[in-house]
Amino acid sequence: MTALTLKLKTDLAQRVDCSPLTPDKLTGKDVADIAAMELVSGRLTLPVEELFDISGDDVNDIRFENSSAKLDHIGHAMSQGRITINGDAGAYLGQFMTGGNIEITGNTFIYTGCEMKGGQIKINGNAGDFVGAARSGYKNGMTGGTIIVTGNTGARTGDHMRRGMILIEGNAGEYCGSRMISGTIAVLGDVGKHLGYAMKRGTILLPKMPQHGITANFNDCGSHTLAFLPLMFASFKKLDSKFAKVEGFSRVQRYAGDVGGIGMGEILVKI
Amino acid sequence: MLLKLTGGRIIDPAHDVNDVVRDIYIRDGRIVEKPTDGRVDEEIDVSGKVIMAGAIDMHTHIGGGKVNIARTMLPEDHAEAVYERTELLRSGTGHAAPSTLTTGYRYAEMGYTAGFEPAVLPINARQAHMEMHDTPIIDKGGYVMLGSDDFLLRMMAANSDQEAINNYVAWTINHAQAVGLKVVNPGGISAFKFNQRKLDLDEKNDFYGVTPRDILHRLSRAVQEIGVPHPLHVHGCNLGVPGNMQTTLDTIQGAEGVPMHLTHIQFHSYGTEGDFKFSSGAAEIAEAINKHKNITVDVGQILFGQTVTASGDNMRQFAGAPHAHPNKWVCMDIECEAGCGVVPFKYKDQSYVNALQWMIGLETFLMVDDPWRIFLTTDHPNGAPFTSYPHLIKLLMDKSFRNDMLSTLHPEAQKATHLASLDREYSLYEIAIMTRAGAAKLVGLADRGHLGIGAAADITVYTDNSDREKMFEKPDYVFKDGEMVVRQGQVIKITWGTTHVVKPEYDVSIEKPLQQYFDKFHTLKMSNFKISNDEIVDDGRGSLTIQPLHKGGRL
Amino acid sequence: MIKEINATTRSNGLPIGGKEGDTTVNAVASWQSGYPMRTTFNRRFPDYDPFLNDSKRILANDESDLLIWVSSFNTAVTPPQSSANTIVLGRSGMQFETEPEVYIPVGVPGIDHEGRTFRSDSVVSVPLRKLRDSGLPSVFEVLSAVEQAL
Repeated sequence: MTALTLKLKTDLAQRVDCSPLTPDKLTGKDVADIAAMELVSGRLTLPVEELFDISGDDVNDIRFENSSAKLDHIGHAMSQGRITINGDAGAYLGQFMTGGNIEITGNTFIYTGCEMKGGQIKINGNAGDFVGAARSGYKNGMTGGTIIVTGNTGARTGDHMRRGMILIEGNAGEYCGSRMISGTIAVLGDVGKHLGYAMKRGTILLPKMPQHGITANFNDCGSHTLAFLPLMFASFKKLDSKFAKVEGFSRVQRYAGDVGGIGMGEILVKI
Repeated sequence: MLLKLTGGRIIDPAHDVNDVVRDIYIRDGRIVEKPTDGRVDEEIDVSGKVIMAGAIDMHTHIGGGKVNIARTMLPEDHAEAVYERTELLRSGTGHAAPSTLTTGYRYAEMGYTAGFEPAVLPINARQAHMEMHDTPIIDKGGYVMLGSDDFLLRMMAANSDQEAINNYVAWTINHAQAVGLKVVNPGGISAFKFNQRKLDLDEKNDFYGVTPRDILHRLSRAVQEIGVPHPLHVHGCNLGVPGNMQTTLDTIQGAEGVPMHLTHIQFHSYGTEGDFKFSSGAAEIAEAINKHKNITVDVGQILFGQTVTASGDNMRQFAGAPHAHPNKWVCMDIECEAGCGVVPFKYKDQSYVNALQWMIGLETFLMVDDPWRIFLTTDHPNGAPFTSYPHLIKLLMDKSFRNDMLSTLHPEAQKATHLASLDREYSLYEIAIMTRAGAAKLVGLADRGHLGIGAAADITVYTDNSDREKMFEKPDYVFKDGEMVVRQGQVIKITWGTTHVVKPEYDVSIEKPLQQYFDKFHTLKMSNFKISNDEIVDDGRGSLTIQPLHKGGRL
Repeated sequence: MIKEINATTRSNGLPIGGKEGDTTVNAVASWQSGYPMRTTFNRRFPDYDPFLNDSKRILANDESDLLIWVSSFNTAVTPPQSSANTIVLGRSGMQFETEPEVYIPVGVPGIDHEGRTFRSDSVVSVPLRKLRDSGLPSVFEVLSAVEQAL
C-alpha cells in the first residue's frame, strides 16, 4: 500500500471544503469511490477528481501535494491516521480532531486546530490567527492534543483554550492566550501586545521577558522554583521540535492574571 | 371554490362535539354551511381521521429582542439544527431559538395555526411585530408588558385613580398593537434597578413604595374594566425560588375574584420540604386553582435537554445566571420600562431539581380538574422548545409511558412525588380543549379554535394512533384559512397569518401627561413609540384582525 | 467586570455601534437565519463565519465575481476596489472612483420612502417616514422588480 496522494491540479479561485478527505471518512473506499466524492467549492460541488490527481490507496496515510491556502477543513474531526500536506492549507486545519497526526510544510490560514480534542498538528511554517481557539461565539477552544508551529502564529493564539498544548518556536501574535481557561502555551520567540488578555486559568511559558512587558492586569507574584517544569521539558524530548532541545529550567518569575476576571492564569518567564 | 372534508371524526369542544362523524365545508377561508345545491369543487376523503381546529400556543416566545439575543448568543443551538432551503421553504437554523421562518414551518407541521408572544416590551414592540411578521403560516399576537414601567409606578405612587390607569393600559395595548396585557415579576424588574434582589407579594419597591400586590390589583382591574377578553397575564413573583408556592397561593387569593392568568405555573409551585429543601407544591396549587374559577394557568412544563431561558424577569434571570449552560448569558435593564434576561440552560434527568420540576409540571396538569382553565405550554423555549409538544401530549395521554419515563429519573426525586399514583390520562377531547377551544377563549379569539359555521378554516387532520406522540407530530393535513398548508407533515404552501389585536377605547387626555413624560424621560418620541396599523400590514403580506372586546368594555 | 460588580450592586454597560443601517441588517439577519451578517448560504443553509465570509477578504482573494453593493443612506459609502463586476444600489448622487458596471440610484429610507431602523444600541427600532416625493425607488422596490422580471 502506498499513501493516498491528492495532487491539486490547478490554482483555485474558490475555497474548497476538504472535510470529507480524512482517514476516518475514506475507510472502505477505493480510488474510484474517492474520485467521485463531491466537495463543496464556493456555491458548487465538484468531484474530487476534478480538483485532484489521485494516486495510491492507503487512506490512513493521506498526502496533499501542491496544496493551497484555499483548501479548508483538512483533517476535519479525524480520529486516527496521518495527513501530510505539501504546500499551504486553508482555514480550520484539524478542526475537532481527536487523534492522529497532521504535518504541513507550509503555512496555514485561520483556526488551525480549532476545538481539537487530541492528536498532533505540526506546522513547518506559520499559522494564522486563532490557533487552537473556539469557533466564533463558542466557549471551548482546544481541549487536548498538541500543536507545534515552527514559525509564527497570528493573533489570539489559544483563545478560549481549555486543555492541551500549543508550542510555538517562532513568535506569537497579539492577544496570545486570550480568554484561556486552561492548558499550556509556550513561545520560544517573542509575543505580541495584550498577552493573556482576559485569561482565566492556564499557563503561558516564555524563556524571556516579552518585548512589550507584562500588562498591568497581571500581578507579579515573585520568583519561584517550579518542580513541574523539568518534567514538562522532559516530555518535550520526544517531540520533533526545537522544544526537544531546549535546556530545561525551573526558576521563573510568575505573573498571575487577568485580574479583570478571576485572575488565576499564569505567565511564567524564565529568570 | 368550495372544499369538502368528508367523513372525519370531529372533535370541537367549543360546540360540545366529541368524536362525531361530520363533513366540513370550506369557502373563502371560512367554515360554511353545506351548500344548498350540493355542489363541491374539491373533496378530500378524511374518513376515520381525527379533525380538530388548528392548535393555538397561547404562550410562546417567538419574537422580540430577547429571542433575537438568544439567537445571536447561541451559534451552538443553530449549528446542530440546520434546515436547507427547498424550492418552497427558506433555509433556517435553531432548536431552542429557531429563526422566524423555521418557527413558522415547524409550528404548522405540528398542526399549530397560531402562537402568542407573551412578553412584548412596549418600547420594543415594533421589533416583536417585525419578527412575527417574518414568521410564516401561523397567526400571531402579543401581550404587552407593563408593571415595572416607570410611568405606571409613578401613577401608582401618586395614587392616581383607576380610570387614569385604565386609560394608560388601553392606550398602551392600542399603540403596541397587542391582544392582551402581561405583567412580569410585578414591580420586581424595577426594584432590581434599585438593587433589590427579591420582591415578595407585599414587599415595597424601595423607590416607589408600591407592592406587587398593588400592581396586580390595579392591572387586573384595568384589563377587566376596559373589556380586554384575555385576563391579566401574570408571571408572578419569585420565579424558581424554593418556597414560592406560598407567594402563588397568596396571589391567587389576592386576585379577589378578578380574572387572572398565571403563566408557567410550574416555575411558581415549589415547596421547601425534604433533604434538598426543594419539593412539589403542585397539589396545593392545583387545589387553589380548582377552587378559584377566576384563575387560569398554563404549565410551562420542562422537558430534559438543552434549551435557553428568555424572560423579561432580569431580577430572577440574574440570580439564575450562574447555572448557565453553556456558560454565557445576557441581562439588561431596559430604560424606563423593564428588563430582559437570556440564560441558556440544560435540564438534566439525573438532577434532583430538574427531575422534580418535570414531575411538578405533570402533577399540575393531572390535578387541575378543568381543562378549560389549564393550557399546554413549555413556555417555549424556557422549559423546552415547542417542538416537544407531541412528546408532552403523550406524557399526558399515556400513563404507562409517563411512569416508564418517571422510573428513569433521579431516584430521590421519584420518592418526592406521588405522580406514579395519578391515574388520569387526558382524552383527545381534553387535549382539544387545552390546545384549541380553551386557548382561543382565553386569548379572546372569536373566530379561531373551533369548527363552527363562520369560523376561520384553521383545521388539523390527524390519523388516530395510540402512540400519541406520533399522531400529534405529523398531521395528515393542516389547513390555514382554508388553504392546505401541510400534507403528511410537510409544508406544501406558504401563507402569512394575521396579527390578532384588541382595540380598547381610551380617553385621549392621557396623551397629555404621556407626551410630557416621553419628552422628558424617554429616548424615543411618543409619535415613534406608536405602531400604526400600516406597519403591521407592511408590504401587504401582514394583516390585522381586531378581536371583539368583552361586554362591559367600551368600544 | 460589569458581571462581577453586579454581584453586590448595580452596574450597566451600554454597547453602541453600527451605522448606515448595519445594526438593522444584523438584527433582521439574526431572526431570519439565526445568524448575524457574514453568513454564507452556499450549502443551501445558513453557515456563519465572520472571518471567511468577510466581504473585504473575499474580494481581496478574488473569491467572488459579482459584488452587489447596497448603500441607501450615505453617498460616501461606496464599494471597495475589486476585480468583481459591481452592481450598486446606492443613494442617488453617489460618485465613484471606478464606475460600477451597473448603478441604480435609490431613495433614502426616512426621506424618500418609509422604513424602519434599529437604534445603534439595537434595543429599540423606530419608524422612518416618507418626507418628500422624489420618485426614487426603494431598494425593496428595485429588488422586487428584478425578481419579477426573472
